[in-house]
Amino acid sequence: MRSPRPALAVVADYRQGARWRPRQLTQGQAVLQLLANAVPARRDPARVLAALAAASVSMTALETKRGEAAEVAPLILGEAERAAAGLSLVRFTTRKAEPCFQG
Amino acid sequence: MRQVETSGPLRARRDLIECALADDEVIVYDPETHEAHCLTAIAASVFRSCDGTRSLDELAALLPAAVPGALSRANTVQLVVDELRARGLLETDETAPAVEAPRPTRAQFARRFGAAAAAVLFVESLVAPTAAQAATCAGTGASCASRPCCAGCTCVAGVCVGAC
Repeated sequence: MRSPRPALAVVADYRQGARWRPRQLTQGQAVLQLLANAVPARRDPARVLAALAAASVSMTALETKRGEAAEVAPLILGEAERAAAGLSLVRFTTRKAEPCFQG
Repeated sequence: MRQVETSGPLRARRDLIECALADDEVIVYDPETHEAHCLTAIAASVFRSCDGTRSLDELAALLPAAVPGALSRANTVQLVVDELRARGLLETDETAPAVEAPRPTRAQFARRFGAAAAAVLFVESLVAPTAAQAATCAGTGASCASRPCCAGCTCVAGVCVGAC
């Protein structure tokens, strides 16, 4: 049984009055943002990076400042539906078999 | 930031963890500092060519013909090497004479050569979080100097007070 893969990652820091203006991240930028929330990376960076690289394949990653949660929640859900349906403009579709190694 | 000019062979550090991604981007993780760096395709190309045998001129010759903006290959390689060196991704040669010179910031560079050129040359970095940094809010009695208190608490003199 294959694990489900995320279709969307949204990096949205709160700023009062901010408007929803998402920009597409590259896969590398997406992996960096995921890594910023991955505590095990300090203990086993190669494994965590490999997992994040695999998880970010076929994932859409967006970054924006956001306003109130009630305003942006429907927008995020809309993006998630588009991403899950494969309607997003950019996806990371190529990946090497063994992406991570040391030296 | 400062740059160090050198004309000798350049070598990428061998203890770094590399992770190849789509569009020829590479994530490089430094196990000493726990910093992760996202190298653009051009930066990654230069980084991987730094094998200890090639000079700046030789690295420039390996670049594709199309480099961003109005930059020459030599300037592109110099900028990328400066960027890699500033982030500690190249081995340092303690015996080589180093000359420090002013190095443009990303904003200065973007004004001169365009944001697109800056986007394809500059490296993005961050530090992997500790468990404490990853917590989204601070509980009762915890420091709220760098993160907010959880619901039910108030930050008083740098400490979360209340029931949370």
